[in-house]
Amino acid sequence: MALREAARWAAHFRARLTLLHVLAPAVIPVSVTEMAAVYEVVPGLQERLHEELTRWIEAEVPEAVASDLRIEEGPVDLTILEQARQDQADLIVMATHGRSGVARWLLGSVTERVLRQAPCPVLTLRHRELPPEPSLH
Amino acid sequence: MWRNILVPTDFSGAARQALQLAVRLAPPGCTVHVMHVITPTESDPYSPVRLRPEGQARRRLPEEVTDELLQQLVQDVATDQVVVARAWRRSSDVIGSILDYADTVEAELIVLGTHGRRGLQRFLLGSVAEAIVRRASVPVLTVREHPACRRPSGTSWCPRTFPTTPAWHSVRRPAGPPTSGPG
Repeated sequence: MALREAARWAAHFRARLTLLHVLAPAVIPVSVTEMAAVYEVVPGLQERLHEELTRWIEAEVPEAVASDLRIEEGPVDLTILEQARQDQADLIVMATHGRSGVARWLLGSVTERVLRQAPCPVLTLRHRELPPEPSLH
Repeated sequence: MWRNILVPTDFSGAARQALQLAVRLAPPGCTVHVMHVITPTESDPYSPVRLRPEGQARRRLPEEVTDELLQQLVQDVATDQVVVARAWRRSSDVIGSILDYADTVEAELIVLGTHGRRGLQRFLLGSVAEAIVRRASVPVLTVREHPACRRPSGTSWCPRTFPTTPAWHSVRRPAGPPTSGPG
């Protein structure tokens, strides 16, 4: 939904669109003494992710809009901010989950942190219904 | 792209930047609605009553002061192509009134200024923008206040905040000198 809106804006302002996915540093134990990032353990995760995001772009972004895809690793909010600064982005588009209460404190704060520190305006869209749980990580 | 854009204002520099951006984004024929919610308390640092000289404000109703400030704001940003409509509501529920008004005017976009406060201040004051972001059913564009514009008075367009690249500069603007601008 956020990507569709971003594509609308990009088309309207003839802007370039970058789809950014941040892999949070989720770690799992691989042996008694070792931890490893999920994406190092699950084979082909990165590739699958890349394919899926590419399909997503094909489905939602009209061909007239120049777009690219980027997958980064790191803390989600900081990575988004960092990429926006690097690219000198004019706009960040992201979805919010519209959570409240405790769930908001725990989960909904990525958008808020991005909002407060973004180097550019931020367009947020609320999810109408709860999104399905991400299956990849 | 849009027919109605809502810009809630607390008369801060951030809100003014949001309004300027909304006017800039608005296609011809689009109405930009600027609205203020008058709260029953004057503890709000951006209460319009506080933006007017003490004695003067005491003798006048907040509604009058608000009206005057809104008028001034509209005058400052008005262009030939975009209609700027003003409104105020009197309510203790700022967020509810803003969302309600967004429904009433069928806003397709809400443009918000945020003060970018942190820590305790953020906890106490910065939550209107966050609540709207969480609860609005339409897209919300949030503009963070540029540090140089922190003063509500005499704030004009802040060059560095927005826009910086050709894409944004291609946004349709009226012929002739801009009402405010970096240069």
